[in-house]
Amino acid sequence: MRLDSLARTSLIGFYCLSVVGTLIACVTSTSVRAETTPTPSPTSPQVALDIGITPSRQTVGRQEQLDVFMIVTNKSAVDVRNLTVALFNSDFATLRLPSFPTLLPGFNSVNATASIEANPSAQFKQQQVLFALTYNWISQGQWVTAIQGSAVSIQVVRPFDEEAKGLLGGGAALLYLLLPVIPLVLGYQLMDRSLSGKFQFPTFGADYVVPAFLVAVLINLILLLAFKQLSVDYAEPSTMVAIILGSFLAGLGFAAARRYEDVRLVISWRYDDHDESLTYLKKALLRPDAPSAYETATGTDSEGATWSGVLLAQPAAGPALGATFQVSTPPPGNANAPRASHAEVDQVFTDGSIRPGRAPRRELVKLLEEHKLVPNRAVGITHDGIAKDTNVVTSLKELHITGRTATQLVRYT
Amino acid sequence: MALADTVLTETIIDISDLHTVLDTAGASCGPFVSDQSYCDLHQRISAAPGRHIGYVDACGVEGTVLDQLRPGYADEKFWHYILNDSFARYPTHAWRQILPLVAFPRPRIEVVKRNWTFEIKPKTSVLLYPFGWSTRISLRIVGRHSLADLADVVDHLFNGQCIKPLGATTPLRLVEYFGRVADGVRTDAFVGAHTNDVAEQMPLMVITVLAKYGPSASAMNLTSDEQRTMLRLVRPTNRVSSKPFADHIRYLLPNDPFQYALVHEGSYFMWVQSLLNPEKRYRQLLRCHHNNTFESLERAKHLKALIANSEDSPSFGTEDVLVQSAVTELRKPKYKGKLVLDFVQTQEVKDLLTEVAG
Repeated sequence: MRLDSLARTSLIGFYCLSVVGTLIACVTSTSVRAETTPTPSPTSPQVALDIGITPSRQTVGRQEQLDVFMIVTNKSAVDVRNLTVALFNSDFATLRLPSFPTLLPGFNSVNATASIEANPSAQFKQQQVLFALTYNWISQGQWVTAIQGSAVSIQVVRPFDEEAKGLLGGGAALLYLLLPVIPLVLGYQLMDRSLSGKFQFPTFGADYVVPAFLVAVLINLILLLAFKQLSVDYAEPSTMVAIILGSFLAGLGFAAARRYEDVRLVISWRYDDHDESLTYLKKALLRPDAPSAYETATGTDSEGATWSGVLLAQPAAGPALGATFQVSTPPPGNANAPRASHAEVDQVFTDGSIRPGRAPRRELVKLLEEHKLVPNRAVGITHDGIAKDTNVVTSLKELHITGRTATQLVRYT
Repeated sequence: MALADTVLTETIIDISDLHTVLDTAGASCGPFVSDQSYCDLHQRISAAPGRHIGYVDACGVEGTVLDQLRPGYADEKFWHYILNDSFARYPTHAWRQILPLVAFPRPRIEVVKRNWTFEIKPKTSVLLYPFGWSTRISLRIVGRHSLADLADVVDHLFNGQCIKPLGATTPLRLVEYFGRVADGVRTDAFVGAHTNDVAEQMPLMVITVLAKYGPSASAMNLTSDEQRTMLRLVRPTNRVSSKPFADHIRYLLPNDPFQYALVHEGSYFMWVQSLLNPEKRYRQLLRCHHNNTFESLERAKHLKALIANSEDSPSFGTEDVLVQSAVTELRKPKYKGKLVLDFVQTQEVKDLLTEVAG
């Protein structure tokens, strides 16, 4: 009896434990299946793929295409199905992905080629490009899905990266640092030399390197302080063009601002070989800092030709030669034709010579504009002794002045 | 410059031929042959009312062409340069200082014009020296005329029948008129048809623009056509000048294109811008400038001719006081006008003076 009850108690206990254990096992098994892909039990057939991925080259530039060769070997006896590949790297885009056969039988291999491209904004660095292969197989009557990844290292490089490697260490960085400064300096020199009248093609001499480097550092520092998020990307062609052009224009602007008077002279007071009498006189008499007295210069140009004429300063181009003028009242005859009165002439001239100061000059130009006085050339420009039929000559090739005599630019006759 | 835009309103042209008499012996009019009689005549004229006397009063007979006699000098700066003494004492120096007389020829003349609208007012006179004379014609052109018109007038004077003595039916050429007057002067002042005299090949002519409108004629900005027109003022011929235009220009002020004389042989065209001013004061100065230039050139040419002919002259040898005075004056001109200084600096005059000194 005691044994029977003990056995019965033991059997009941074992039964209960079995039931509890079974319940726990069932609950546990259900929760695991719900959370993860079912995996084969240790006794299930094992599937293993050997994925070999090789890029056609180790480096790529932005927006450059790259082929990636893939060899997938099924190292198990189980057939693998629905093999697909996906690319995981936001700096790269897929151009063409391989399409594998639907079935990859056990112990078989398949190869394919994918084409990818670095994005326009891809970071210049060594990138890990992950290719994830997804596939299925049947385990114990159930479909099992697996993903297996394989990463390849691809370096995204800047344009001319290879060329830059030819420079001494840090050379490329220095060049990029100086990039905004060089067009700035060249633009400045271009404008400055143009306005000085002695044009030479600008140069970036060795003596500019140190100040340019300093300016470059300052510019970068200022930009960094002003725009903390600014990240200038010179590899972007439009950015580079904008930087170069902007810097060049800034250089032009600095020089133009510094020589504002010269710019004003060039724009408004530059002599032209085709200037009419009135235009010429206006420019010569009323230009800013017009001389109070004029000189007739004689000289020779670089070709040995002799010249003679009133010495004028052509803005940003050195000397020019002009004609002297006489102004006179038109002959009486037409009562309606305007004529300067004696008082008006006296305001401008004394004994035939123009009075000092700008006011008489302004008055003279006014009388000429109103046709109350008529201008006529008095002494023309001579070239090899022959009078030229223009009021001003600006295209003088390196005029070497050999003589000067005081003269009157305009006189009343 | 558009030369055509230059409108002249008054211009004066003085022309003078020059004759040098080699032998005055037997002159019909005594006062012209000796120092004393010449000075006395000057005294008489200076003392006469109006400072002039009739030819008949001076020589006792009626002149064939010469009429009234006046001093050939005036109480003016120009003559004070020549003779630095009180004007009242001028007659006493008349012989030694070679002071001339002026006579007025008969009949008066008029200028036969082409179809010009401007007036040409002529005046004639004869300048008398003891050793020669010159017949002067002074033409004042009044009214609108261009430089081309002026060149036509000069051309007409030298190449046309332009002089018409009052009462005559046909006009004379200039040389014919000068010849007629010369014949009369030989008769009235020297030894008539037998007068041994030589004439300058080219008459002296001085032209000055006295008033104008519009632009002035610049010497430095003329087209070749305008240069030809300008040259016709002093060179009344169609033949092309062998000299460049610039060689004809004498600047009265250095390199001033409006103060110059255009020169060809004995002819001068003057543009004096500084005095070309309608104000009366400038007008008088300009007239004086013209007169002084003409008289100084005329006198210098007379003196030069006297010296040049002195070797062949029975009356005025190289040692003669008149010749010596002429040499002194030409060596150091007292009136220092630009053109007369240029004249005495010519190689011809220099050689002549050197020859006389030797």
